Amino acid sequence: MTGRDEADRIRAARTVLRDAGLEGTVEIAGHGRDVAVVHADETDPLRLAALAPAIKAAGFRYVTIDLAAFADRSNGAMSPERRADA
Amino acid sequence: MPDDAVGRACCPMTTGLACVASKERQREERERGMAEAVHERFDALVALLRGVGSACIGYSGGVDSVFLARVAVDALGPDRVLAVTGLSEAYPQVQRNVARECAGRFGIPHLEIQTDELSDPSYTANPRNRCYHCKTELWGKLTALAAERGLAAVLDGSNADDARDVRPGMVAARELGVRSPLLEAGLTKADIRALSRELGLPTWDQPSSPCLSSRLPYGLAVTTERLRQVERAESEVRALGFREFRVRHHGDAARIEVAPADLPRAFRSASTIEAAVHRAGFSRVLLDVEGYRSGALNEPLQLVSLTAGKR
Repeated sequence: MTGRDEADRIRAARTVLRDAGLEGTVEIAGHGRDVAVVHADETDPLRLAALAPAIKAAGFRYVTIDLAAFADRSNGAMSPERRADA
Repeated sequence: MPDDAVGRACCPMTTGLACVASKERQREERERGMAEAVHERFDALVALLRGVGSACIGYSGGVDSVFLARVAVDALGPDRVLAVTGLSEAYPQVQRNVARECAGRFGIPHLEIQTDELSDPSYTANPRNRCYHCKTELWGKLTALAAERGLAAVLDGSNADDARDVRPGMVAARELGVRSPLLEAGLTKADIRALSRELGLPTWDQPSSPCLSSRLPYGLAVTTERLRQVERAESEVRALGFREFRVRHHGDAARIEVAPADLPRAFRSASTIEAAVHRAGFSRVLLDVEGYRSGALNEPLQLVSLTAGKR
């Protein structure tokens, strides 16, 4: 689709997250391999939306979160074990 | 004139409340002028319809076509108007319900016909001009129907805003002699919503609702199964209380766009939405962090040099 190696696009998108102070990963999804799926411990939609243009500039049309993984992380973040660890 | 400019102009001689009152008066005058302009365009529409004499109207149940059909019935009388809905797998049932309800409530003569765009390989291949093939099928059938019923013209609900976009469907309409009275009268979407509200049409604030095929990215084949997946998923999301949204089909994944104001709620309801859309047959459910944008599947890919970003 882009002529650019997918690994490069992922690396660039992860750099965006890291520069914003977020630990996380990015994967590529979608029929056109143009959807970035962000996995990060960030629950503020406004913050993720603010990062979207920079992630798109790494070679994506859309920036998304995976709802199943997000729900798992959110539940985990609220679990007693997670709170105890913190 | 922008408000701050108004403020600067009045402030040397008036201050405080007097200045606010002056700005308010100017705003009211501006709005009154705009409303008059809208009603002039409405009058032009009525005159145009009367000039046509009788009409077969493409009637989807959307904001524009409901408004056009309602005004046409007033201008021409019900015996000179036929609103026609083309049914296919790409036409959402929820829209069909609106079309029927409005026709019944406002005395619009209504006919439903079957269209068959999904048997056309040029359409199902889902090229960028997909709408051209769909509208060729629809307007071809309506043109034949109008001739058979002795109706003078076939009309669509394109408006003045639509003329600013590249719309392959409008090319098909022009090729088949279909006219666009709303566009010809210069009525914009905002005008039509305002006038629909004045006329008491329930569609005045209805979100735009293009066909289900618009949820598939170009190049992903349009199939009955995919359209049903999208329709079912959107029905599930609607049942959760979301009003302005799209479920976009990306193969095994659904990408959901909700109105930006609804994003916090969507984040909070992540597991509920995921389960609902999963039930519609998507193995993976993604939420777009930027929210709903009209025509999002037409957005260009943005690429900048990555070298500066590399570590």
